[in-house]
Amino acid sequence: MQEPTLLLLTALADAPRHGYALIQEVAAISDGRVRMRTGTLYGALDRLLGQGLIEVASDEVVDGRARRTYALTDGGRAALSAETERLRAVVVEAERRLSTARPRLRGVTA
Amino acid sequence: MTDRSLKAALSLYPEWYRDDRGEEIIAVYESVTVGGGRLLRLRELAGIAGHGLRVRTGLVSGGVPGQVVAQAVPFVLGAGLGLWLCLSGLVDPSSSGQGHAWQLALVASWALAAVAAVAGRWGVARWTGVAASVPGLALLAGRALFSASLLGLVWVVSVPLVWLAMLLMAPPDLLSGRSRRTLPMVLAGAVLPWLLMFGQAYLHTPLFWDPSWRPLQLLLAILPLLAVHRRRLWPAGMVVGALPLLVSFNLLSLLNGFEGPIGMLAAVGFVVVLPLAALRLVKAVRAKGEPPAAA
Repeated sequence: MQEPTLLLLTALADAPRHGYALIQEVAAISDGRVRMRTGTLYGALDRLLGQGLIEVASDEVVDGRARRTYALTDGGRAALSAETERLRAVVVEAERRLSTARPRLRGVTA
Repeated sequence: MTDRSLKAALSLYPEWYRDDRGEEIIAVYESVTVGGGRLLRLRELAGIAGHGLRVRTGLVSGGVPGQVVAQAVPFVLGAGLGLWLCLSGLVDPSSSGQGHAWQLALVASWALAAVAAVAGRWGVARWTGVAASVPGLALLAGRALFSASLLGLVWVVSVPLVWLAMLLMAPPDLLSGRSRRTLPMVLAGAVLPWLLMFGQAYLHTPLFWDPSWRPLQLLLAILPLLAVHRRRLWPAGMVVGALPLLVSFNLLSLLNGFEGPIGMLAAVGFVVVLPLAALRLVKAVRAKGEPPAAA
């Protein structure tokens, strides 16, 4: 899964959000590393809508501005869960290998 | 000024998309740029304009053509580096290796773009490649105007022009992070121009250099469609990235005997006919439902 996809699905995991809120959430989740531009956001949203991973939750006008809110679909939630499991497995394996390698390294340098 | 620029950027979208999403995009743009500087507004406008062009041309990230172009980007960055390494004389076996300062600056720019791609810094990679393409195009055009025919100019300029279009049109949401395929793609791209221009000095085989092989090399144009049909996007991207150089190199050689109006007619005809034929084929593949439909 591409990083922008993972970040957008994660941003929608707890609540539906509109475009600008998604840009803010992605920046927060990535600790400021990923600052999605408007054009990039809508390119990704179009793709995720086409893949059925997200859906339009509501269309409204707030303070005279059009605001469309997006939400995860069941398919999107399943895809995010699967990716989370995959990443968790990698992390667990990385931690296991790091912990087993540490004594050997000490042994070599001692 | 900003309103006019935003309207101009939005005008690049097809009408149906602008009607559906225009207000929403304006609202997000205004929220993002409030209190921001001119550079931020320019970057946002460039992003919106780019997305508009992608929607209009069908090169969106949800569609196969956009995905293939994104896969081609690392190859194109390597090919840009390889091309300017060759043109600067740095890897030319018959040259003393003394390139002009501007040629070396272009080599350095393409090298930076290639390294940034390998490091997963795609924004830096793409925009450095774009920035290096523009003066490179001007230099090649100037050189061709003074030293070659009009036919030569068409072919010489068409290669970096198509690569520039690929860099600009690749969906940015598909270019992120590091990938184990990036370095091989960059290296393959860097080797191809050298192979075509000077490889014969080292590799004693008729493949690539014997004129009788040239029509066969043009058949490589079919490979991306076969790769897409088998849902292998990265080989398709590699061949799409290589095609401008292969087609230019081979067709220029083939048409060298047809200078004048006939050669020009053949060149223009090919430039018009090939993209149209490719477009029709891609549409036919998409209509079959083999690849995922564009968003």
